[in-house]
Amino acid sequence: MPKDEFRVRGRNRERIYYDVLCSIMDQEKRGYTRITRVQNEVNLPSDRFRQHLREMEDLRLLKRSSPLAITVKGRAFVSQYRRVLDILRQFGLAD
Amino acid sequence: MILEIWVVFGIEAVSAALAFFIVYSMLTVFRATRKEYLLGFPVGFGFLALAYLAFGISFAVPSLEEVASWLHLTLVSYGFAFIVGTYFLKKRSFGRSMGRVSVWLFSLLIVLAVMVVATIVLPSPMIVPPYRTVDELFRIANLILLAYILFSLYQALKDERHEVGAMVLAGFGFLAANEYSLLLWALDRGVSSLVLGHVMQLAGLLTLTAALAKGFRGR
Repeated sequence: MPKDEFRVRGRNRERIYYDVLCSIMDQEKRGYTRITRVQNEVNLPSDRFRQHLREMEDLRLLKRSSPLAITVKGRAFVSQYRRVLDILRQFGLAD
Repeated sequence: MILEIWVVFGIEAVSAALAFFIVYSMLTVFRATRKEYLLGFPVGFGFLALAYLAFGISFAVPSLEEVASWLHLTLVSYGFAFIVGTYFLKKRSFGRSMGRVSVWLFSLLIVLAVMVVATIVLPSPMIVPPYRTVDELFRIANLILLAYILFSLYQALKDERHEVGAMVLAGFGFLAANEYSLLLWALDRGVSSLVLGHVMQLAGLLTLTAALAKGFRGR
């Protein structure tokens, strides 16, 4: 995933979840998920990042085990959110 | 003649249903992204859906022809104005956050829309001219609004070659052809321009609906 994907102005909660999950998926493909690398990629301060991780775990989008892992529900969320972003792009309304 | 009236009413009812599907789909997109400027899209298509119903009523109920036609004209223009607002605010939002401005702009448009509709429907001392005298002016205004939408879409999509993007462009192109045909109909009241206008309207809404359905299904 290109780095610019995470540089979206004024991200809402859903967009932050999407960015976090994409980063985890990307790192899972490369072998191992490091929490600090995910935090750097999604560009959030530590306290907010950890708060979002807690919320995402409550929503069963990821597991905060070591290493971080995306769940089936998390993958479904990424897939659906990506479709929404595709629709916006195709209607000429993407950021 | 009765059959023709019900055919027109049926086409308008189908058009309204398609426009409401677009409203529902774009509300889903808005809920996921929470970008205020996107609200103009479902609101705009909501106005268009009501406008199509008003056009059908103007044919089916002759006693309501004047009021329903006025409603149709104003609602279509407001519908396209809201969609233009979405594209305009999207361009502006690159530079800085436009959240509050877009909410204010849309609120203002809604208030103006309600005022115009209330002026037409409610008995008032204001004299509203017969709709036939202003029909072509509204159609020209709609064509200008659609030209802006098409230009914005072309600017946004020129670097990307997406099948769905092309469908969206074609959909709004058909809606522009619909407005042009209805402009001709406003001038000559010929059956062929009315029929062509309705065919274009259905084609445009079907294309946009198909684009959304394809987008939600995933490539």
